[in-house]
Amino acid sequence: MISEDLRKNLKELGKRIPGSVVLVVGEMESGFVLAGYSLSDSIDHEEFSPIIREALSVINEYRDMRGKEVLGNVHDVMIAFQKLMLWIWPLKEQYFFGIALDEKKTIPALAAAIVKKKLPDFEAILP
Amino acid sequence: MQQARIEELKKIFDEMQLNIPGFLGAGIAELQEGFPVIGFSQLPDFDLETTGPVYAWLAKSIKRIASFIGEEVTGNLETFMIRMDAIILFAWLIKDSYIMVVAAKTKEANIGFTRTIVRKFMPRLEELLI
Repeated sequence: MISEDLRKNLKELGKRIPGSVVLVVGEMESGFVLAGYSLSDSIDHEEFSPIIREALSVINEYRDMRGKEVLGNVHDVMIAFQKLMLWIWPLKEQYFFGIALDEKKTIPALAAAIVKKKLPDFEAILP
Repeated sequence: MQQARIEELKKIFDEMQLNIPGFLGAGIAELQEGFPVIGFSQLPDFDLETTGPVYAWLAKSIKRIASFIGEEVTGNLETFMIRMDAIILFAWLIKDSYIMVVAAKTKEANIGFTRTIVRKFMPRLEELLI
């Protein structure tokens, strides 16, 4: 049921954000996909979630190196490649929301603003 | 690196400081070993010059993540951003040989604006970093 609710929300969000490619909500520790939605034939959301988890673990390792007391909590992470942009938000410390965007079709600020408004809905669904 | 080039890089950082909202500092390091080229920071506990190896490690780790998806899908890594409570860290790869890090105050920074400003300096940076 949780998975269905999440997927419904991901699908709706994907349609609203220009250039959306893949959207996932996953578990931070394991990288396990709770729900995903792909608008692309080339990227599967099952493959995508562990990549996001890996990115977050690298960022957390960096934060530990530099000192949590200096940097504080991570709000979001954006990684821009030539063709694809990955944007990740931690959810309730145990989960994450990740979106892959087509660099040529998206408007990053608009995408981030739409996602940020939607994050409380995901947090409300998650246990 | 020649002193003249270092002076030019310093000028670029000065211009960034004037134009990037919430600017706290910037640094450039070689990507392979993290050897610092130049650094400038307003925060005593955020010395960008001596943390070159950390940023080089960070960039290489993120590049490795791209290889999981496949570079034919993602393209080359261009930039990344980490937003934390106090600071936003922006990083750019320059000619795939250097990493440039710009730090800004989270409350004052504007992601799109910062990317646009830095993009303006990129041709000069590429020219200076051989």
